[in-house]
Amino acid sequence: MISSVAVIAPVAAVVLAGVALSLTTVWMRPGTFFGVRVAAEYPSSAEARETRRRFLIAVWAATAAAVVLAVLAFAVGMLALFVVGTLVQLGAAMLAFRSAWRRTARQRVEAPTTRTATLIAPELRVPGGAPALLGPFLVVGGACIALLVKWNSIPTRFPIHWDIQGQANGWSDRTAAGVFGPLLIAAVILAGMCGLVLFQKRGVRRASAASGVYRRNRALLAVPVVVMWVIASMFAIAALTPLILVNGRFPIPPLVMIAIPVAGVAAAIWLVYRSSSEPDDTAPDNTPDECWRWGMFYHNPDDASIMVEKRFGVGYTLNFARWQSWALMGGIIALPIAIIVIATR
Amino acid sequence: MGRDVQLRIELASPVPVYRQIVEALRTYLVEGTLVPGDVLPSVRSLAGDLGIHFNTVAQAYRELAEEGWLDVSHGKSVRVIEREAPRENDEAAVEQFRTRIRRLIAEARAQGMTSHVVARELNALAGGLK
Repeated sequence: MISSVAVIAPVAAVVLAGVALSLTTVWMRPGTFFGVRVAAEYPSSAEARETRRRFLIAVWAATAAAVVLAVLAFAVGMLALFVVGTLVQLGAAMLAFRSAWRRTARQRVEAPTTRTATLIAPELRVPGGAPALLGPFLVVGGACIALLVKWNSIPTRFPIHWDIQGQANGWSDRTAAGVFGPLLIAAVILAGMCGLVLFQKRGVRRASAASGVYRRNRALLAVPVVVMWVIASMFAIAALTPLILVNGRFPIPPLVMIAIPVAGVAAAIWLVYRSSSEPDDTAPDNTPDECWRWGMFYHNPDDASIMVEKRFGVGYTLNFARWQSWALMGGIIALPIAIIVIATR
Repeated sequence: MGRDVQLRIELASPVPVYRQIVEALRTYLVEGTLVPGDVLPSVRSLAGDLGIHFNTVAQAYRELAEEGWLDVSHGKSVRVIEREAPRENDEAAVEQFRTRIRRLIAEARAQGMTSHVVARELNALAGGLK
């Protein structure tokens, strides 16, 4: 018998991914359609609607297949099927995008001949400044100090994981690794994210303070900061578990624990959505069409930018002609692997 | 809020792009819109923003560096520097200027502007620059 709760989470994840992929058709940079520079009126044409429809059909067919594989994965206990399902979903979406890009390529228009660039711009500041970046470290540090001060109050063995009924099913001992482990993991993640924020701050396009690009840059800097606060809060609560247990039970309701990251993600999505929905006519996209491979991967050796604004979705993508982009990709992949290795030692 | 300085070029113009960049930047430098200490975008960054080849920007920066406005020697950073004032009323420079301005005035007159309007505009522009 499959636990309904156990299967809901992966199915929900697959469906949410389907929704996110579908949003591609909504969040396109003004003046572009599936990564192709087009006339302003083209996206509302019958041909564009047909292209969009075909893309959505492909995405939701793949999502349905991924849902079936996710259910099967839990029915037969083969997690690999779930992974295969998500890869099928992502791969199908990429192929559908490529197909839409090729279909739209016939409608490509030349870039405007009048070009503008920002020579001097106000410095892009992280929303909230240094306190916003250092705060999460202070939260983790504060939890660390509380644990040190109350070391003798920590039970020699304490629960760290509970099932859905609230029964403890995972335990840890009062050792340095057992007590400070979550905080160490949090510090590593936060350091990585802090580096990402600074990299993002340095790498984005210099833009006029009046431009939509500037406002989007600010919003996109706020997202990792919000995520840092969520991570710091969650890990601090997890680390303080042995001090806040009440009769061996975790005193914070599971819904609250779920609500914290959900609220964080919702806030981040809202910030990005608000900034991306603003019109922007002061900083047009001057990137050459031919440098957008499949309409989604930017590769321009003549462009010094490490990050450029995406032509669909929100935020930035990497210029894959720069070695720094590959280094960043390597770091993003290596960080979770390093965390898993540290956590399982 | 900090300063906000934009550069605009027209690819369809008969004036070469590198010359448009030189002239726009020189105007900003003479007017004082750009001041010593300002850091301009790197060659590649500006080229990326304008969607043009980086050699075009490099050529423009090089010309302004030769005139003493920019320092492009420190790695990738392009900095506006204090410029030594050139010798006043250098005869060769005055002659070159006179030739160019004659062409411009002829063009303006051919378009129907009176000599009074041309003189007024030249006076106003010269007074507006440092």
